Amino acid sequence: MPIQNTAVLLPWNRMSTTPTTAVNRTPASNKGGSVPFKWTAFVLGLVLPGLGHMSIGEKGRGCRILAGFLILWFSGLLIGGLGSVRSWDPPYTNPAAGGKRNLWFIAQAAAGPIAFGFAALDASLIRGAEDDQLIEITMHDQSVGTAYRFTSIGHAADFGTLFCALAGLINFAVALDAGGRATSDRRGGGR
Amino acid sequence: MTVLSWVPFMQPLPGVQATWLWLLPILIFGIAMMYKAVRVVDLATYWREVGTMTAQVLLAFLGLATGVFILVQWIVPLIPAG
Repeated sequence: MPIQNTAVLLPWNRMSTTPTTAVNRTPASNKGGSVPFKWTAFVLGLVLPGLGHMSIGEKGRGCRILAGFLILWFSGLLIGGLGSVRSWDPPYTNPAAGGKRNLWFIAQAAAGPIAFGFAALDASLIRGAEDDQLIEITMHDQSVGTAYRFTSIGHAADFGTLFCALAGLINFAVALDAGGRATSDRRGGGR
Repeated sequence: MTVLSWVPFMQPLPGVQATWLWLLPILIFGIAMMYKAVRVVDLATYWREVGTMTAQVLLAFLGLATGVFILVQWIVPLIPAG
């Protein structure tokens, strides 16, 4: 294989399956699937789910993406409460022991500013609850800790976290699709 | 805590610990909505595709659950101990 052709196999070139030249950058040549990655659409998709697709003219697709995201996100919040989106001190950890980063939030953060907004709400309303709303609990390491009296545990915490994490993860994939999608590729968009 | 005294978002949904299987269709429906919004070629068939995918995934779960049930309840006890 000639050395210049190996470049298209590298991961950062996957969005473009043929080398980009002045000749094949025309819309007509995009029919073959070679599309320059649209970083603006990708970033907009991360800012608000579906906005990336709306920005490239796929309004119908964007609205459906947003609707699906909102169903997952707010179902998660209804099931597990605000604690479903938490950047620090995941369930079953003792904040008094030094605090711990919640790894689920990495997936949830792909939902963009919405995730950070709800994490801030959790920090102020649930984790930062008044003393009269706190109860003493025994942690899994047998230490004594405190928690908001309505902090979700068990299946409510698991499913709430899972719903929001999946919404974030899928939104990241959707934003990638918005960046890699050909603008001229209507595929029924906008209906 | 009962449903009547439940404060949405501030408190977890009551009753989830005992009955949680009904959350699966909602989860799969939401995933299918986002997935099919990207994958479907013609948006006119969107809702049909979402319904089909939701049903397929639920049936797959049911099939897996049935398979594991048969394995654990019927086949594993047939294996001689020791």
